[in-house]
Amino acid sequence: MGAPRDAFTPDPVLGAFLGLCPLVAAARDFASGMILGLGVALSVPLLGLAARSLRTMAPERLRAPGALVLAAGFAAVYALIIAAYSPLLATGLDIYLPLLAANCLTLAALKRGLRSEQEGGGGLRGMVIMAGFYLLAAMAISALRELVGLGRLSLPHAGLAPRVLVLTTSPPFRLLASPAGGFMLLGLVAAVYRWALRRRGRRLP
Amino acid sequence: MSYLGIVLISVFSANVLLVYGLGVCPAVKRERKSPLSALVALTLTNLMAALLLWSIRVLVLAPLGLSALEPIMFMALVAPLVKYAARAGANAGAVFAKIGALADESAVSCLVFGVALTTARSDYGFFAAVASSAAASFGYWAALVLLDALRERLELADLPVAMRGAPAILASAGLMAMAFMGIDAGFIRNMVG
Repeated sequence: MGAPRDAFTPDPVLGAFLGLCPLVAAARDFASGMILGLGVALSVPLLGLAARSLRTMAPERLRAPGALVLAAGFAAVYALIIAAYSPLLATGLDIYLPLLAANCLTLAALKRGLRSEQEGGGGLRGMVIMAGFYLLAAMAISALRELVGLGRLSLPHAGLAPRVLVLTTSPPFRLLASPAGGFMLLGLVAAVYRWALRRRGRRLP
Repeated sequence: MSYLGIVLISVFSANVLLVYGLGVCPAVKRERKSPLSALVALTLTNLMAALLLWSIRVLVLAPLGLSALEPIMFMALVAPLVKYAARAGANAGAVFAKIGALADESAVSCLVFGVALTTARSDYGFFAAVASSAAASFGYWAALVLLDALRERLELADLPVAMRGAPAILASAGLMAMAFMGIDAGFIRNMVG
């Protein structure tokens, strides 16, 4: 593994604490977490590559605004695709789908793409690894919130509503489904992650 | 709804940081106090961005059925205009330099875009949109001030090593969010209309 270790690799959520807004508030069920995580995971390498192309194609004054418009275009198209795939899910995610354009990780990928001169495949590999970790973290955190907070698991499903597997009608800890529970769970998961790193003799992020 | 109701809901039960989760990343990692200049910069940035996006949505996008273009309009029109105004403000004099620099820095962020989106998508009129976006900025700033105070206390607390820093701040923010969400929007509507 020769990828450079910085904010992009390997733990953007629990190490660098980037891209948290969708995870705290909107990823209260698995379907939402997966859709948002996938949006960020797709946008980071794609926009990173697009920004790198802009660096060679566009004059310097237009690079940063152009990259931001590209990010906005990606968010708009992704929101339209999700609205067509599952309208109820898109309605539930409300502002968080267009907000992918201003996600901290997306903006960091754009910045990195615009200034990367020396990085060849290593820069892209770092972005892909980071995107994968973000998707995994989003899916794990949203699944945990839904299982413990709502007693069910919902899967993205083409059509009007997500497919829901009800496990219990009296969930053990409803608070986890709310933004307050999202903050608390993220804090606890980050602490467990740091504890595990420490036990393995790794540096705390 | 009355303006007071809009302000109270934006500050408490719909707090942009603790309920919508906007601007969490800088709030978790920040290590400096929240000065009044940050409040002024944040309020001006949010007001400009929210009112511009609100106007574009009400006058152009909604009538044409093009609401999906909100992100593109924000990044192509609103953010550059806000950045331009912030830079002009920063060059206007030493007093405004810090405020202008802070506003320029925060013009493209999930916080500003999120506040602009929630304001634009609400059914508010112009003055209600002004009240809502200004109150949202104050709510964010107030939450930051409270988190800074908590951070100071937590630095002195005997916490496990893994829990120190951002994890403790996140858990504390969760407790604060419970308190803020406890001030119910329905209760506010009943009390102040």
